[in-house]
Amino acid sequence: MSHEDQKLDELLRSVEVPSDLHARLRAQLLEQASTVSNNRLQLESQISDAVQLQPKEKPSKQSQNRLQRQTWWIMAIAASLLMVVGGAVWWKTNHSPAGKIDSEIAFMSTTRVDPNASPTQEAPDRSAIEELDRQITAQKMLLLELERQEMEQRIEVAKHELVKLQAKPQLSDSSLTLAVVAETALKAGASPQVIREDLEFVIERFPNSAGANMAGQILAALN
Amino acid sequence: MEPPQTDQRLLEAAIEAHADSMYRVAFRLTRDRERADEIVQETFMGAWKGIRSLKDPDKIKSWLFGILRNQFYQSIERNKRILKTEALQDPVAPDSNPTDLQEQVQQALAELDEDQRLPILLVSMEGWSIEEAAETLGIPKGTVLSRLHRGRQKLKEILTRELELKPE
Repeated sequence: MSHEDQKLDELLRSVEVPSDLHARLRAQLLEQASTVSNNRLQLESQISDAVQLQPKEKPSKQSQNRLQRQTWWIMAIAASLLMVVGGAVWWKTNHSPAGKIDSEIAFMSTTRVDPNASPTQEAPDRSAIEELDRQITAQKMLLLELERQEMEQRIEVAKHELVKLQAKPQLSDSSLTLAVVAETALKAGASPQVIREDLEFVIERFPNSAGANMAGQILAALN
Repeated sequence: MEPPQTDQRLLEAAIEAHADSMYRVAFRLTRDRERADEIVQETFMGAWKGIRSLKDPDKIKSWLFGILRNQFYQSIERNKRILKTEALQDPVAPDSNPTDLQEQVQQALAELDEDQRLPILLVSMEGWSIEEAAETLGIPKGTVLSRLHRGRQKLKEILTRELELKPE
């Protein structure tokens, strides 16, 4: 190599290098390594957390809403069914004639149960029960009508008796009069308690009188 | 991925062995200390990230200088964009009469072709072997030699007066 070449190389080489270049480069490497290490630890931690939380993850808002809608519909349908069934049972028990008959039959079957009867005994025929119910209802109506007619007859008798009694001489004895009135009222269908009080009043107020005697007889008959 | 401790130590050793040389080359290429510093730092950052691609640790020097060269080219592209913007904003005329010898060397180097400058810097300035320069630059040894010869001749022509003026 010539002298000129050596001079040239020296000249080229004569570049001042910063004294802290090595330190800065080493620090840069360490910082980079530290940053990457921290990032890696952070990522690992996040992944670990995510893995741990995954089974406990809440359902999404969409699935929650869907679940709520489904639950609401199920509850609504169940409530409707319950109301319909409950209403039907209540109606059958309290209003339906067949239900009454069923109840009576059930009551009769419990009160007159055959100890040897099988629990799987067949239920009575529905049409027969309905027919029986109609007959019972008709008989009840007939009884009510008879009672009404009898009451009207008693009132008429009482009125007639009063008219006749007013003309009798025994009416001067007020106690007897009261007793006869009480007897008449009794015949007219008044309450026995009221009649009994009237009779007791006659006996108390007019003792040893004909009216008190008659009142005693009526009371004995009432008791 | 983080390099293992052995790779970290390998890079730290490379800093001790080659960082000065890399800085000088970067400075001669860029003619700017700040840019040279930046290129060396980026070179080692690139090396840190790509240390796994280094198959033979004995060739770390040429591997590092290959990264440095790429960083330099990238910085040229970045600088071109910056210079375009700066030129539009505040055009500055280049120094046509440098007085300092180092400045003259820098200017002479800048006048060399790109393919001549790197062999000069690696072999003449940093004392690399022809084989190392050929491997790093990815060209045959004969090409390195011819580019080196032409580059030296041109530099000498530029700096003859200065070299004669400052004899040993």
